[in-house]
Amino acid sequence: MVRALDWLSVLLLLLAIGAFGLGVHALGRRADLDALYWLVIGALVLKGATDLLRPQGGR
Amino acid sequence: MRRLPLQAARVLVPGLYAWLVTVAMPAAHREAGWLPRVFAGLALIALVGGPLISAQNEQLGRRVGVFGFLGASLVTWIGLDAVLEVGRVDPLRAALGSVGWALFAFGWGSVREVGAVPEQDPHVLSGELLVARSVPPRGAAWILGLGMVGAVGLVVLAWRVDRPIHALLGHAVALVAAIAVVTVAAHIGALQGTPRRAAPARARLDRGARWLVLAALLLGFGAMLRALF
Repeated sequence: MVRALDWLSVLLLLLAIGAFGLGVHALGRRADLDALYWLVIGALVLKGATDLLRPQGGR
Repeated sequence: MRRLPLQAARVLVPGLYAWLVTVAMPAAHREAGWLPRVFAGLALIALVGGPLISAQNEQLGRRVGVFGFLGASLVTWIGLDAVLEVGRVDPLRAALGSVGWALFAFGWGSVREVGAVPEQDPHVLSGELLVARSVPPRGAAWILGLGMVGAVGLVVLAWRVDRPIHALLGHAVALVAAIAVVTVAAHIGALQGTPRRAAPARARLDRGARWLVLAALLLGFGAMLRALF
């Protein structure tokens, strides 16, 4: 289970990179709302990936 | 004096490339005035002169080669004004030029000479070798590399934003995202499979799940809006 969570955090890192990429790409397409949407999703996924790794007692 | 060719090449090769792509080519534009052209020439003189002077007087050479080159390039860019508008700059050339500038900066740094052994330096402190307490887990370098490639991709993507104000925002957002991605990648890589005081898997999943549920809800909401409109 612990090993699976480690790999899940790698997968989430990839998803976050993809979401950030879509956000920056949307800025280039002049779709500002889309950009904000993907950037927020990227930030949430990256935060999720970090929290999956927190050691005991970490906040 | 014997070290001059290698030192000079480290500075001159990327510096000449950066100068050619980001200073000389815009200054050669037909709309450019005489001021940027003169300062582009001065920048080249400072770039070449810096390493040459450095062989005799390192401090003066560094001042000419770094501050002289950078200052003359800066005046060139200010003088170019409309020629350097974001919409008129080729994104690929600008991105490669910025890589040239980064390598130029590294070129002025102090690196170990080829074949030199640090322990043979007369100033080295003697004593027991300091042994690392642990080695990085397997796969850590790959995960960090993955994060770095993703981060570079984000920074490159920002060059596709061609609206002047949004371009600046795009670069700022891409830079912040790139730093976050590399930081998290290093964190994930360093903790891969290592025995640690980790919370139980269930607690870790609970902690991460709240953010992932929020992201999933947002994704679902976006998909629903897209289907409706």
